[in-house]
Amino acid sequence: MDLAALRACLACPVCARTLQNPTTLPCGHTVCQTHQISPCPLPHCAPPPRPARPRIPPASRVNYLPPPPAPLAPPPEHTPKPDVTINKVLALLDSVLGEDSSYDDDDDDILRSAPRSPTVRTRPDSPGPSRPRKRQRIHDDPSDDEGDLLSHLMSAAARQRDTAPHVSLTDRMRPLPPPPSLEKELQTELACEICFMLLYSPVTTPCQHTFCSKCLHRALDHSNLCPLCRDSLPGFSFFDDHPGNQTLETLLATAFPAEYTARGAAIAAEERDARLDTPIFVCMLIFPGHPTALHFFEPRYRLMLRRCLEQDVPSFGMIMPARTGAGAGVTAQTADYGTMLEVRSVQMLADGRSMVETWSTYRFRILERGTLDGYTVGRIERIDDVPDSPSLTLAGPSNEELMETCTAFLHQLRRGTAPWVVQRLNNVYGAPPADPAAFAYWVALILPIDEFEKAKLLPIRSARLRLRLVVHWIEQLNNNWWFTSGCVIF
Amino acid sequence: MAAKVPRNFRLLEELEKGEKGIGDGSCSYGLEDSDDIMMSNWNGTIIGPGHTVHENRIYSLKITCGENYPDAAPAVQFLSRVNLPFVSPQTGTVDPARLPVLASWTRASSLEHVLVEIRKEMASPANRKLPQPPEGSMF
Amino acid sequence: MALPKRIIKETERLVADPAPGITAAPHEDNLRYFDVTIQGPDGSPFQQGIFKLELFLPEEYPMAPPKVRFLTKIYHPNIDKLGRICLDILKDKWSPALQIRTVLLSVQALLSAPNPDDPLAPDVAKHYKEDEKGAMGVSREWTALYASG
Repeated sequence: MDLAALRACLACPVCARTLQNPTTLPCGHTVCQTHQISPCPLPHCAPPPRPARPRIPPASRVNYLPPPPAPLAPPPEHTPKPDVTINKVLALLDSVLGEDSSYDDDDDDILRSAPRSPTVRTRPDSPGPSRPRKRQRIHDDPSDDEGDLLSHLMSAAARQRDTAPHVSLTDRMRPLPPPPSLEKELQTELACEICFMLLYSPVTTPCQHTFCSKCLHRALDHSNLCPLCRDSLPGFSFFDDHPGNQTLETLLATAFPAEYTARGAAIAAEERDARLDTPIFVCMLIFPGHPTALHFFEPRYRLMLRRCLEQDVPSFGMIMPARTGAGAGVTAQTADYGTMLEVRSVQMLADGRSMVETWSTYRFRILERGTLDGYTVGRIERIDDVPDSPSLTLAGPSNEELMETCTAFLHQLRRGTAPWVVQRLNNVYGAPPADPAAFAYWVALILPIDEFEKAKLLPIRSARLRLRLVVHWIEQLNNNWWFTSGCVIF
Repeated sequence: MAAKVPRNFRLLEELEKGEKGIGDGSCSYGLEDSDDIMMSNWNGTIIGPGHTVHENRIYSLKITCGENYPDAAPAVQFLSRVNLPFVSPQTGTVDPARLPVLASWTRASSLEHVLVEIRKEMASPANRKLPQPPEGSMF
Repeated sequence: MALPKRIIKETERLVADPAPGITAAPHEDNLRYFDVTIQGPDGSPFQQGIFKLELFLPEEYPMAPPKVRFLTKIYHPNIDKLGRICLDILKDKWSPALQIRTVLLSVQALLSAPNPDDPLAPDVAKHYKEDEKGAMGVSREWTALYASG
């Protein structure tokens, strides 16, 4: 590790000197606080915004509408907060290089009980940042209070930094390279506080805390507060295409080039693995060939949707929840069958929720179930119709006659006391399809019967058998007094 | 491999669900002893299904969750006398081999399932008209 | 899916560098399930007690908080008869930057600072509010009775 190169990464792009009281702006530039910070003082500051998350492949036909533009970043406070991560790295390098540090870590000062040790170079053979001491201090520290995350973490950070051993000043002139502990300590300072790994694609919040962009997005699915200090964050849309912290990106690539590349590869592999199984949304009964609009708000499904959108054909499976009380393996058979939904358009909302329009394509059976980050995934087998055997085709009324029975029943309904029912359903589900394979689904949607009963259509691989099941339901309805008397009660 | 919820946390989840009330109220369950830290012994109640000989009867059951729950099915015993093919007429013990929800037990099954399935059995065509011991009698 | 790296790192650190008065060891057959002990803090009625707990990291951890429960009986206004703990960071105040270590330190801190205004065990809380000295006496007795190791 080349200390001079690290140092160069930490230069202020405005004054070209080592950053002093650095603050990271919404554009991703980090500058000394003494410069003008709103707007960014750099000439021609126009960082390329990151491609709107998720990264939609060129082949995808999904219509992705990003959230409405975020309100402008909150005006910077009178004295902006320093970038916590960069500040820690500067202090670490200072302690190694033995330069006088005059950084003003106001947030740490609150909690620091001991005066800062004189900054001197760590001797290579001296004990590293004393873990045992840290342990000791945690126990004594009254700030380790239950809810007080901020003070806890800050004091932990202060302790970590307060450990420069007292070494004689004659050691100052030792030549580089740095002590072996530096690499480890730097890695600690550059770890994401959510995944505990080396920061990847670091994004810095207005409260100057830095996380991997993917980690921050997942945290925002759950809460609008900064995971570290609980300041409220500007919301999902603010971070949707937020530029990364450029200083940290350069520093990571300089200090840990191999590790940084490996992290990127590992994340890509994880995402690939996540797509190996079919994501399953457990919500409602849907038949093939219909549009469905869905509101995504649960954190786990937001993540699922982001992952879906990175596929060429973004789609997920939809199944009904198992009926309450149905013993698994006893009566939950219908819950193993579902329908694939292809995502047609996504309107992101500012807070990370989204309105999603889908079109249902094919049916499937779940062969094996699992869970991924809270949502269901499965290995599925597609279900398609098989041609009807001649004996089945010849027995009983023809397909046309069956369809005619259905149509007649719907006409009867329409003439009944509640014509609006059918009118409304016609509007929702469109005109009756001519194809017998699709006709039964269309009728089933309108029939006032139990959803679990309707779900029995999903496993049937014969258009004719589906028609017969629907006609069976119609016969049962006709046998009910309340139906034949024309009184439709929903 | 998804996270496997350990026995005690699984039983806490079931307890909280049971406290909120399940389904239409025709079945319920709770801890026999509210400070049983191992949560082994449970009471269940089934209200007999309508249009059967069980209508309006209230059946009490004892359910025991062993160390290997939910990998292993719980032991179930009727405290109220009842005449059902899967219940021992002497002790009220439910024969797990003869009750599908116990025979094909999986981790996805639950105490709620057990009670709901027993109630379904009571209403099945084969069982709904079986002669029953006097109402309120206990094993 | 393999165990997330974060859980592996946390476990390594817990074992290599345990917090004082706290132990946590994962079960061999379930690495998300930990056996925990917490020493009663000095100066509290739970002093000298060794309390057994269990902790489980659910599928969504660290986005969702760990589940923690006392296995040792304890007389405390925020801990109920089944060992369930009323602590905000285990519920709505959870943050993914918290970890097993900080959670257990917070539980330990709760032993030093009972909060009868946010009770989970109403009878214990009432006792603590009306007769703190007497209530602490019971806490001490229970500690001697159930938590003496």
